[in-house]
Amino acid sequence: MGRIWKLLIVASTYLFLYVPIIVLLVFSFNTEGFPSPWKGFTWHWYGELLHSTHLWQAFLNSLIVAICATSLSLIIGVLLIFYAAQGGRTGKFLSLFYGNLVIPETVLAVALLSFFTLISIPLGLTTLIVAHTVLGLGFVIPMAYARFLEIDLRLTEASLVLGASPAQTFFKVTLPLLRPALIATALLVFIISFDDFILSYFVAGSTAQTLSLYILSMLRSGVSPVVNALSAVLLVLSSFLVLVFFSLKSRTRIF
Amino acid sequence: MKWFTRSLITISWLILIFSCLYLPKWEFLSNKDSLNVFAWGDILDPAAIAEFEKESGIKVNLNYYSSNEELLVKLKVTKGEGYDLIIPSDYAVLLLKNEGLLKELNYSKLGFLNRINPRLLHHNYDLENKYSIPYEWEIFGLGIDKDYFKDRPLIPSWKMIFDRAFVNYKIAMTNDPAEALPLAAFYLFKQVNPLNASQIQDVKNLLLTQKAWVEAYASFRGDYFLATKNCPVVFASSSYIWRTMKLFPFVDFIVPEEGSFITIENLCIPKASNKEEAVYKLINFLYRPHIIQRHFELFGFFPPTLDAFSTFSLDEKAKRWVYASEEDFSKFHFFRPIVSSQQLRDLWVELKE
Amino acid sequence: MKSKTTSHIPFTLGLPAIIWQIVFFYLPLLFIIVSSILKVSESGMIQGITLKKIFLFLSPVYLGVIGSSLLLALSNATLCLLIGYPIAYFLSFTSSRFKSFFLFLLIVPFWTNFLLHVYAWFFVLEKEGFLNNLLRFLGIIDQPIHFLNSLFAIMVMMVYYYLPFMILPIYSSLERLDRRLIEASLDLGGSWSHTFRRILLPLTLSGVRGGFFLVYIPSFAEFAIPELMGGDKQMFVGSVVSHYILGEQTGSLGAAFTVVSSIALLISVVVLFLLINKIMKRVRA
Repeated sequence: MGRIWKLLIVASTYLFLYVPIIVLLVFSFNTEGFPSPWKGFTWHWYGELLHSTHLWQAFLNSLIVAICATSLSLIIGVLLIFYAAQGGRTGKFLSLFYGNLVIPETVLAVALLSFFTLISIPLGLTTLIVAHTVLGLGFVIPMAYARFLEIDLRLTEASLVLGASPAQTFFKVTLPLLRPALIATALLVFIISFDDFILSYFVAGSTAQTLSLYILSMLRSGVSPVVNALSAVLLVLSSFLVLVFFSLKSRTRIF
Repeated sequence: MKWFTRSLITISWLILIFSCLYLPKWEFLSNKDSLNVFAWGDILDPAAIAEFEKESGIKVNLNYYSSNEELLVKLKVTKGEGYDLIIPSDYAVLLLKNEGLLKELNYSKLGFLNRINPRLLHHNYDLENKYSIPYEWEIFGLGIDKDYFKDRPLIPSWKMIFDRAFVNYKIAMTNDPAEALPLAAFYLFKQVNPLNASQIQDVKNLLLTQKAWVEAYASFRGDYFLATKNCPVVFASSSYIWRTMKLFPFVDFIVPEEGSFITIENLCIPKASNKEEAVYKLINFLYRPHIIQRHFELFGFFPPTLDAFSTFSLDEKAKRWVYASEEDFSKFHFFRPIVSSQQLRDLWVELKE
Repeated sequence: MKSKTTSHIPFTLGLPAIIWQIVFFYLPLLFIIVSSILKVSESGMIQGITLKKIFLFLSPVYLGVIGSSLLLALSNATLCLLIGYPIAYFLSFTSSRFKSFFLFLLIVPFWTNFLLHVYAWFFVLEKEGFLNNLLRFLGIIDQPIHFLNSLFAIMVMMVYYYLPFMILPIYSSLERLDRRLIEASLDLGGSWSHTFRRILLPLTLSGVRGGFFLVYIPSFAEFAIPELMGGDKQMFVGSVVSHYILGEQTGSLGAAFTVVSSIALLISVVVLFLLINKIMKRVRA
């Protein structure tokens, strides 16, 4: 396996992945919008970004939905594991959750939309949170349960033998052991919800504008360097989150 | 006993979850001192609304829809409840009127009626304008790249996008079958009436032939293709081209001589609305000259009144259409359903296949 | 032994998750399956079972749309596999100093909003965009090429977006591999292709399969990429669904089409799964 070939494939792939992003970033500082070539350096578009109320509203909505969905799926997911830990009829129940990630998101979105319309639930942030929580559960439950199974039984047994109740054992022994996996999963679910586009497109109704939908409407109606500036900002944010994720990686076995 | 308790617990959770889900609905309907407006994304300037709120003390909730269909569905489902002001297009007014979802307008409360451009009134969809008053309008035509046609032939005709003999460039076409079909039918048969089977086939063939030189089907991005010089000719509405013309001086707008299409956006009040005072205040506010002027400058839709321009100068091109004559208007047609919805959908999917 | 007084608490706490899953996942899915065979009158009364809606979509036009989607998904998954496996291999077997860095570089685009990536590619593939300007500068072409609004652009974007989905599972399974097996095989005189076929591939099969379907299944329902990158000139399952579902009175038709295409997808997944297993057996032999 020639080293040159290997290096070539890898280099070109990473180039493929990053050239568009770099071009995007560079042109966010261009004094004139697309399709003008490079004319000069300016922070102008970033300034416009700061003043766009529509954008901030959409950003806020995405944030709210992501935080709620992540928290909800984490909490009820962990509680389900708690039920499992007490010896409830677990094996069957947990396999219920593996389907969430297998079906295409569009199918889920269509199903949810039809369901919500049928029982006249008003579409908006609440329905979005519900939908994203379904996605989130599909991550939380398998990952947390897998980690749960790996916990050394002797630790929990010792706790019980020493007089702690099952509840105390769960919250003081099992949970801390699960924590790194839970945090990593939470980050993953947060990002997936924040960037989510398909579910939002169908289930958000007309009142809730998320960041993805806002960008879509901008893409559909034309281009502006403000979008470049937005991409740059979001990229920095994502990189930061990935860094956090990596600092946890050493303590979890996600990869 | 165990199962009884468990069922009770299950039901309690269900009640909790569903009451959270239905919460927005109750909030929405019980707000007495606010108005709910349902409109297109780019018709009302949020700043103008804010000005109204400050002046009148009435809170306005702006909700957006992205198509008349969405408006129709939403209003049918809620029987008109929940909204106080809506802005449907011409044919949507007709549909809503027939479903009995619109409230008759009280003309005594509207002080600006004599200022409205008379050519926008008394059309088929609401002959006496009992339920609707026009707020904005636009016409459809071709966006042109002047640079490209400096030395090339340019004729003000739909042949520029349909006739193989003329088209040796890429175009951008509308992505809405409800626009594309009537346009093709008009080009072929010079009228917009329901089609029989053989006519449908002709329309289909025309659109299929056209596909060869379509760069993209894009309802909202026509101006983008012009600005980036991707396509020298695009099918677009006047409002989009106006906005592009401001930024890119090489863009021009042509209305073909054979005639074209017009849409009029109207203000209507849903039947179930009970906020008379507030709504009429808002409507009167929206027709103030400087508000109309602002909307035109922002969005490019032609204004409903002719007096807004005494306060600022209008460029020649815009003047041409805003002050369009009786003869001009006789060549304008409304988009109308000319085939059944299922046929429309099937044709469009087949076209894209 | 649980005492009777506390035995309901775990159940109460664990219940929301199960309710959620049943009410917001299984129930809606069941609902669209049922509604696609129900006959509903204008006023919303249920009138009986009908297969009319299903048959509506079994016409050549719609089957063609489903076929195109399947083909798109298959080519995308295959391309991602061909490009992704070497990358995963490189990542896994590289020295630890840069490993995290490369992994980081891989995940960052993955964690940034998908639509922004589409926008980034506009910049690159536009007529006056980066790629055309570069090619013109290098003198390779005279006139700009229309990259965008073509099948090429769609494929580029799809591979670009789905590549990490393929790489990460394969990387995962490579990491769990015992390196000594490869060393042993090479030491014992096995050629690279032999080592690859008999050792690497079978042991990373779960990762390859996982990555393949992780790309294949979502690609099938894509609609944003064909619309934005392909100029919406070709309809795929996702485009039809979004046109139908959000329009008037066509909600149940959209649901019916979703059901039909999901069944097609399911069948193809089963077929592919068996096919992959068969290929594995051949390769091993």
